[in-house]
Amino acid sequence: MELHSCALRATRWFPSTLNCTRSRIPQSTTECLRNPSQRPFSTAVPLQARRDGNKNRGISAIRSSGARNIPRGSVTLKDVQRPVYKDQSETELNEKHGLWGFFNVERTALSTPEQDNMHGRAWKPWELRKKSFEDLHALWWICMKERNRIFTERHTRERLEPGFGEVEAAWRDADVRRTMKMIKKTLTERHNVWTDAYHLAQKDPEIQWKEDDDGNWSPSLKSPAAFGYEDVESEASKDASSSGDLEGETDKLAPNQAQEDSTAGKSRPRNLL
Amino acid sequence: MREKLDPNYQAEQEALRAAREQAKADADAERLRAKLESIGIPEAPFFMGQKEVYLPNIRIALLKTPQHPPSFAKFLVPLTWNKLDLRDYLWNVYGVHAVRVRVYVQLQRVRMDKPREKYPAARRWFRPQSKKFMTIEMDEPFYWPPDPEDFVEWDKDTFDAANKTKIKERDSRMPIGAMEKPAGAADLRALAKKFVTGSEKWTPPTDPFGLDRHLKK
Repeated sequence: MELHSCALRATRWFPSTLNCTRSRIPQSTTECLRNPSQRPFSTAVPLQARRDGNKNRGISAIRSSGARNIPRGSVTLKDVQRPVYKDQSETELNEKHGLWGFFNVERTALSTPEQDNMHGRAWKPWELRKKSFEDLHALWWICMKERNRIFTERHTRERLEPGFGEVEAAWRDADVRRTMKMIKKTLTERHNVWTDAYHLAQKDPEIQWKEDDDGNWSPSLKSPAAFGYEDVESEASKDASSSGDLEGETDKLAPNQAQEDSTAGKSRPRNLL
Repeated sequence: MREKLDPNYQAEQEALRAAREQAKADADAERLRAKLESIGIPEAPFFMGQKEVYLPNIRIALLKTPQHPPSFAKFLVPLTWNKLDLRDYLWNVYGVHAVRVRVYVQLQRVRMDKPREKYPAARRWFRPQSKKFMTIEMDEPFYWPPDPEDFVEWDKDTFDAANKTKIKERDSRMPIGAMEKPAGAADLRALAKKFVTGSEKWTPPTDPFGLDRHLKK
């Protein structure tokens, strides 16, 4: 009894004494796998780093990883035929290739500072206010492509280190960005005006939001919900259903008002939108 | 009532709902197709993304890769993009058909303090945002225009000379500048050695302050 307790105490205070007599317990799964002597007996399939069974994992054609699965010695580097790319002078240049959009009009690798400086000012808001949304949208994408071109040339400049010209490209980019800012400003203004007009029209008694018996109504806006605003018609029907007997009266309310207005010599229901 | 009697009711309803959703998706795709055709973008040989983005504010760069075949093109793209974004973007904006896309995200080196910090502090580490590169495989090869032969237009000589002077001036104001020997140090050393050995005798300068000129007047 006393001996046993002594052994326990020794184990507690000097764990290394036990390791001398007994085989060491593996500390982790990785250690188990690496050292066959430490590996416990198991019938399970051993773990792999990637368990998808892809033999070609890690082999890349463009990242020079090498062909791992070919046995060493069977093929040497001399046996491998190196790819020969066609020289640019031998092939016909594809003039219509889309990637020319990343270059300037002269289609050179890098614009000179003089070429970069040849530009006017950014668009002004009073010029953009006259344009339709389609025009503004097209102008936005022209600006996007121009910025891509300048960004591409920035990387070309880092590669070639040609000298001056960085500032001119930055000025050009700033003007393009100013134009884009003005486009957003114009569209925001337009949206705000539209919102104001919508809320004003809701309060206007001349405007007839609900269809009358003859099928006339104005403005000829089919569904306000399509524009992200609350549906006036559905709200009106909700009110009508809650009020019950007043359903007929609410239907007639708007046409009556319109008739009164027209009889009073005022304008007909306006088509605001 | 039919729900309880007919065991196939649930499945039928689900099939109907699926058909309705499919019809809606088809109609949306058709509407988008018509819209793109009105702009002049031909129908893509792949499934085009259905999300309409009107005013994005991003930019991508085309990078030169002489190590790749001419049908490959490499782009630096926003970190938020995926392969499908680039494929649809190139088709709609540039009319380029990317047959395959490969992505590589490059982690940037850790550097001292944030960029453009006035007094960069030591041990305040900053890692710039990773860069995402995408390499596409195109159906048609594209050859880059040749690099300029000389950089006269960019005034490279002046630029390099100015840069060299700037670096020299900067280093002279730093502690490392004080460690460097002044110009002509070797000549002075050789002259001093001659005086010590006696091969040459030192004589005081005849007119150290240049007063002769004034006295003659």
